[in-house]
Amino acid sequence: MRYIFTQEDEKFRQELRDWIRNEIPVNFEKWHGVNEAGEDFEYGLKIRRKLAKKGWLTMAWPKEYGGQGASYMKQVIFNEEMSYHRMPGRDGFGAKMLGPTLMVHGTEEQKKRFLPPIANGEVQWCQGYSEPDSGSDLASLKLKVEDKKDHWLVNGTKVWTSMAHKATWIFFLGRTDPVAPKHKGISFFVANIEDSGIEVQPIINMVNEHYFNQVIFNNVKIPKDSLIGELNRGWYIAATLLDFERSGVEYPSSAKRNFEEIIQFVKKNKNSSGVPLIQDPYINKTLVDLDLDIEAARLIAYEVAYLQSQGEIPSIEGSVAKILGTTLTQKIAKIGTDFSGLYGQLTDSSAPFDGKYLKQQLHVTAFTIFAGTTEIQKNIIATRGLGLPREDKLTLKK
Amino acid sequence: MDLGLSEIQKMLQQSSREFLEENCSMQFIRAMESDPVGVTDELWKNFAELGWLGLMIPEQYGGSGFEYQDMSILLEEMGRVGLSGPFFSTSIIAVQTILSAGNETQKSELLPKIASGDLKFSLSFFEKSGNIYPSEIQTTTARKQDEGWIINGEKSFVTDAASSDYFIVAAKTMDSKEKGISLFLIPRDNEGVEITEMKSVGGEKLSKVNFQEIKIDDSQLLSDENLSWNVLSKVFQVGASGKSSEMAGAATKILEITIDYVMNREQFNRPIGSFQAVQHQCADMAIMSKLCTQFARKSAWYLSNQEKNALEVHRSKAYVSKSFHDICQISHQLHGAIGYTWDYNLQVYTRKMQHQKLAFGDYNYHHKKISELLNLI
Repeated sequence: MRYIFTQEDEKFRQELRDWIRNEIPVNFEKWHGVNEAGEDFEYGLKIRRKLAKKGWLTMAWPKEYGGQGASYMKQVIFNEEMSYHRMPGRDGFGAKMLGPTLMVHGTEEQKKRFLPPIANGEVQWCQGYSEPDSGSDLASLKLKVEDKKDHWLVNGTKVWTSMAHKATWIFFLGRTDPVAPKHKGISFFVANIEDSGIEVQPIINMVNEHYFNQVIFNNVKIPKDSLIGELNRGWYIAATLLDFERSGVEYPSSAKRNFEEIIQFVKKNKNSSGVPLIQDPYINKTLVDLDLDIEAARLIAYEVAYLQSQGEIPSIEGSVAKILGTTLTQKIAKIGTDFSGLYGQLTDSSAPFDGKYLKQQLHVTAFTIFAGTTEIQKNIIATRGLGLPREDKLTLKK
Repeated sequence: MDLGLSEIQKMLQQSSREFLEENCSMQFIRAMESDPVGVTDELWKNFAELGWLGLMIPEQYGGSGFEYQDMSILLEEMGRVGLSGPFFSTSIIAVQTILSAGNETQKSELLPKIASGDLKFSLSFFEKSGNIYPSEIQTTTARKQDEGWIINGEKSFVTDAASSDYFIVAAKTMDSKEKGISLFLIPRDNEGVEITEMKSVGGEKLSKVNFQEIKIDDSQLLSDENLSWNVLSKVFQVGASGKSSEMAGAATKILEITIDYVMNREQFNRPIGSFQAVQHQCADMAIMSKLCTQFARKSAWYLSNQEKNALEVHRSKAYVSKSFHDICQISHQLHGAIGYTWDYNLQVYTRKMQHQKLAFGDYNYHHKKISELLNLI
């Protein structure tokens, strides 16, 4: 057992932290992050390229692909510090998901073509998985991909596609065998959005922001070398991908920063009798509970990374981390708005934190839904982890 | 960051699980609930031979020289089978107290006898209020007289009093709040010691102990008023972490019992474990159980390796006390009526939980401590 990081890891943390603090354009205390999916997309890309130059963007990649082969714990530290400091620039779709998938399943040609732009922080990818009729039951997806000898013909619709309006490329799952069992007729493809004539329509979320999209493939032709890995093995290729670094340490880490910010707020602000809010027993208790929630989510994130470092695939712990992390995020956003009575409903500058946590409260509603809902995660824990029978595969006795 | 067990800890975990499963069946655990000592002589002798009684005692005093973090793994296993009894009082609390407070003579006289199974100890700290704060020591006083002391007072919630050879008694010697406490060694069979049973729900041996005009000499002063509160704070941390480990071990076992039940219990022509309403509660138990283990181990590791360890102990005891109660409750819900019966073993853990979650500071106490340490006041 050892519940602290090594000195070497801490040295890296310090180096990274110094760099980040230097990079933040305003005083750290006043920095609230940016909207990478909107007006600050270019700024995010700029930071991404800087991270690439530092070697940090793809530090998890093996050395032969220009990475550093960094340990899982070092990746955890990277994600912790970036999240804590509300830094943009990380590349979940390219560097974290598609890159490693290509290394395992791509041809030499595909690797040469797609990996360097990701490693250099030059490209934005997006992920086309969900469809209007396929959410939690993703394997029921219908987007049709036909083999037309010299090209693939794609017809169908993807939805909730984050960042598609900013991305130049999309990787997606399509149905290539309509008669095979549902998991066995899916293939994994990549496509250039603009060149292929893929149509991206905005969906405005309840925060009134443009983050995700509907992506329409209407007789889209894509070249034969767009297929990644074997035909009809796409489900399994996507599953490998999902097992990459799922520690979810970004949730407790950004929560920690918010926690500290909220503490400052309730220490500084007083109720009408002149008593600092923090002395309210209810507020005090809420904050200690929050501390425990943060620690819980952090412990599980570390456990995920630890198991990965031992060469194990932490599917159950990954689900636990996702549940705890996302629930925590919702809790803290709520607390950030609840301390100010009626002002908690305002979005102007008289609101606590200028309405930041209120906005966040709306935003993080998505967190327990995306990337496998809390209910799906619990199903995974119960069936894969605890060995309980899957409801959809049950044959009833007479 | 290394969240795995060391090779030695793995061995200890495996060997203790084998031994305890064989020797501490539920039938035995239930029998010990009504036994006045809570352990048989034979089992105690086995513990000595296995090196468990002196696990935390350095080799120079006849022990096995392990650290507390290793002991926490053994405690998980004891919690797993539901074993209470004088082990905790003697081999954890007393050993920790004597190690931190005793002088060389006391250590070399007492510790080897603990390791060999010849002496049992019990800490007498709490009084009527049952609170863990130093200011709560109000009736028990020590008066200096000639070459010794006169002790008077009444202690409550003394664990394993009837089977202990010695009490380690916390008594007030001055008027100041924290420093006024000293620790004294008083033999159980000393004239003026009177023990009255307090009936506990989980078979925990709790007593009131009355000390009346107990005359002892200076050699029985374990630690003076300048040191005792520091010693006790550390001892309470170990106690709180230790109870967390017991609960973590029990939580794992309860999860197993529950999964086994919902897999085999059939209603509507299917195992009830195939219903998502049941599965999601099992998942909730699994999440909490995993966290109980992580919080407990983290606090144990901090106690053995870091100077600043209080926060991690408070977090552990606060989280585990609350969640373990929830785990028991969910397990009962999933078991339906059968889990509510005396014959079914689940309820044994549920009753023992009541002691474990309250001992060495309950959820509210540790909550308050976290608040203090995070500067939230």
